[in-house]
Amino acid sequence: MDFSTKTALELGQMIKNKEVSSVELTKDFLANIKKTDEKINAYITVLEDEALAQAAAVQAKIDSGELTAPLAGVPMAIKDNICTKDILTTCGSKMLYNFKPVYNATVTERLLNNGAVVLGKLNMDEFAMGGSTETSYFGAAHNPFDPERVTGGSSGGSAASIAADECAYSLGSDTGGSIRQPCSFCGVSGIKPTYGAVSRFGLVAFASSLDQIGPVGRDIRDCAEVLSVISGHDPKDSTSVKGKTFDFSQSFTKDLKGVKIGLPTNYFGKGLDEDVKKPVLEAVETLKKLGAQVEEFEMSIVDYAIPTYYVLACAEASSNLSRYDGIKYGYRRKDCEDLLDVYYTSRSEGFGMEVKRRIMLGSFVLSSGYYDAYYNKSLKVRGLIKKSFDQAFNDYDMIISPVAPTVAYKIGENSSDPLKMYLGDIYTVSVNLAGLPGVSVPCGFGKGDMPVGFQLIGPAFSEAKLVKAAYAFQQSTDFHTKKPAIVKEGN
Amino acid sequence: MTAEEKIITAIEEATGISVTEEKIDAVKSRINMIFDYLGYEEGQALAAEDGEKPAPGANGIDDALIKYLEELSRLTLTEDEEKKAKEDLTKILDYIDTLNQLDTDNVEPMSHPFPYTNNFRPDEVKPSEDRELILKNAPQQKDGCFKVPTTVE
Repeated sequence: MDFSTKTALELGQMIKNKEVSSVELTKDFLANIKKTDEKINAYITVLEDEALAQAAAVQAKIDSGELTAPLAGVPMAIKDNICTKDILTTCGSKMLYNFKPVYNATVTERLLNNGAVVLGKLNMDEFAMGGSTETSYFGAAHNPFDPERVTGGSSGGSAASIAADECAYSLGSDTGGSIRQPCSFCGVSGIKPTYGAVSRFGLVAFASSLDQIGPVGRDIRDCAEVLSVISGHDPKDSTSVKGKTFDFSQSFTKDLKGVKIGLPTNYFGKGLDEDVKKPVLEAVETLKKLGAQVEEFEMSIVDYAIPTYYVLACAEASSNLSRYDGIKYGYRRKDCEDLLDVYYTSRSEGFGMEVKRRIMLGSFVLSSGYYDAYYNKSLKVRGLIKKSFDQAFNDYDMIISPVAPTVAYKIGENSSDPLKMYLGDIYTVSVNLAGLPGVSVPCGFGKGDMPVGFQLIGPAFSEAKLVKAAYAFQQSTDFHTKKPAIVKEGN
Repeated sequence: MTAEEKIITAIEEATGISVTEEKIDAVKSRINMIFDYLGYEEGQALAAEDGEKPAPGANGIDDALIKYLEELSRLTLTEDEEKKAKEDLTKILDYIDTLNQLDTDNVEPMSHPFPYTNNFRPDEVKPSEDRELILKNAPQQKDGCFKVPTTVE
């Protein structure tokens, strides 16, 4: 049977209807991984035996009525910066090449309690620093729609594994666009939740005030279901928000009457490729036909989002990554003469160049004499960006924008110019700075028949509304169902 | 010692003339006028206090600054990497400087998306993680401790 046209929720229903078993599904996805992942490199670790054993155990619980969750028994995969007990969690880095966490991240625990079958751990830019999954110590991931092109990043494996039909849904993390941008590049759907909606306990920290874990899936309804499972307060994360649960029960309609969407003209100006602009503006027309009211407005502050983001993200990263000292876990250079030597050599040999660059930039903006001019200044601009969004949400329920200025580019094309790479984050980083939710859904194809997505941004904890708009869009379009040749050839 | 005081001491040593108490404020204000004229930021002036050498970065992104950042970051770069880091950092900081176009004088710094106050949990005694588990990933261990090269003779 061809499962590639089914959503995760549909697969979950088929398991309940006894049309297929969790073990059969798991075998099917493992076969797909064997077939295509040599080309795609979406996985760093594949858990063949473990997944089959887990599927059998979960199936028994489903059969006994102990597990009734909609996604119970459905095979999925997890980005390699999210801790999985006794399972390699490398962060795409040599620094953690042998790291097996002794505990599960809260999201992992919640998924397992819900009957998730974990197929493996997904490729990513080293320590989630990058927008292409080219900085991974385990090799670049390749876009299923054209293996010569990047998957986007940093959650490149999370998006590519779904596009290549190598899992039914996945978890990614988003610090400056790391879920939304690879979703756009690989033609899949994803949600970057409101800051604090999902526990970060067990997520290897990059920039703690920006990081959020979120779902990637074949359609937005799958993502909403996964988000319901993983979200909610966690005493182990002091920044996780209490008393907020998502109610998606009103989200699955085709009617967008009364929904007011703002279109910031600054997001559609210079720097946006025509082949991306066109499908996004066509999506705007579709949303209008569904009843949404769309209005243009100015949001000039977005021009300052990237410099602000890189100052703050690198500052936080330089502090967070100081824990890698070669002593407690991870890579350690042997035969060091003294303690300083352990630090210097382990870090210099364990980190890749992009990570080093960001640690150094972060050390610079936090150093004596520059703290005010860079770090503090950026915190203030962050306040201005947040204010600008707050003002927009006085008038609109949500904002529509492109996800990235281009389609997926060729591997190696941007990797020698970090600034050029950073500019690709222009439409996504301000969402993290303001702590807002954003969704990314496919809306067409650009140059080289590569997928293009659009982004919806809403006020804090407006996920249900964003999902509603994205769901209505996907009910009347079929972009999210288009498969890359690599999947079609296989069937 | 502040940057101005240092300069005054240097002038006194070079000329053999000491600046009197009544004149010191006037001299300091002249020094600050020169700072302003040179576009020398307060921050850089403060950084200059740290050592005898000019503050890292006072002369732009130069080799000395890269060495200083390597030290702060506990990293050793190869010569090629240093060259590349210098180029990249120059470009990136140039771009970051566009933030100076924004007036942020009356804006509060925002370090978190939401206004958090301290989020304490109840003070209850609970067992901590198992020692063996914590040591499981240690590259080297001995007698239930992390092992490092000799640090104290």
